[in-house]
Amino acid sequence: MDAVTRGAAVYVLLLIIFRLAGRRTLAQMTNFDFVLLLIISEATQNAMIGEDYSVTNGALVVLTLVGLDVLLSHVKRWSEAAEMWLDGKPTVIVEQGRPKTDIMQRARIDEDDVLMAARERQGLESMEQIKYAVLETSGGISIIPR
Amino acid sequence: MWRIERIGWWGMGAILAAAMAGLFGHGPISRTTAPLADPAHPGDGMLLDYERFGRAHSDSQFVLSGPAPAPAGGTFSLWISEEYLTDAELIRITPEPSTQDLVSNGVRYYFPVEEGPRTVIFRFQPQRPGRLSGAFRLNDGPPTSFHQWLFP
Repeated sequence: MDAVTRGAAVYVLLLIIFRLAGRRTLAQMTNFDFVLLLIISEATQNAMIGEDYSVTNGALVVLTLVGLDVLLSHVKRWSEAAEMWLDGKPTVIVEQGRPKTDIMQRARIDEDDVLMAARERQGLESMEQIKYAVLETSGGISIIPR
Repeated sequence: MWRIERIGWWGMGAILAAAMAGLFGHGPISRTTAPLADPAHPGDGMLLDYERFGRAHSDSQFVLSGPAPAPAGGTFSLWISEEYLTDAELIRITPEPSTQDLVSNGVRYYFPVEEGPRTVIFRFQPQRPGRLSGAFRLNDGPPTSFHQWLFP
């Protein structure tokens, strides 16, 4: 029982923290973000495993996490409101070469991030060449050239 | 392929439900009880509450409670079979026994008592998976055997 409840508690906690932190938090990882990810996994490991080092406990925790993931993917399919709350919606941040500064500010993105994505994915060099830039729910920026 | 995945999801759900109930240890249906009697003090037995389903290398508690047969200010004893002590590491006894004796086929622990009901908790850590057996005795009563199934 404790393995399932511990796993579920950590899953929900992380879901809330990363939803509040915003989708850009670990989307494009710097070296420090990578270290942060490792520290977070270490910290949550203790919370989930406790002092029970049995194979059964580990298996149950993994099963709980994967099970919740499958369950939530179904919930998102059934209910659009749940999808909105859990994943958010893709947001247009550049339209016809004009950046939407207010939305970008709220999403913690500046023009340099958009131009970086434009260079890396489409080989574009200026804002004018972008038809649409969209902040996806995964945290990445997709670029549609003119 | 999709059907197998669908069956897998239901299987996962069933395993998690069983785990919540305690089929893999540490849950409501994993615990069971057995009475401990002392013929010298009929009616003053104790109840052994233990895990029939547990996990190796994880804590497993044996809770003995009841009106232990001993005069106030006296002592009563609990004996554990050597069979179980070889397969499980004893982590702690709460309360600590006053003395312990190595006797035939096991260890006898002595507890001084005052008035009122008593509860003694043995915390073990089984060291191997599979079926473990052992027995408890209250004072000079007959042994009450128990069996545990331990998941790896």
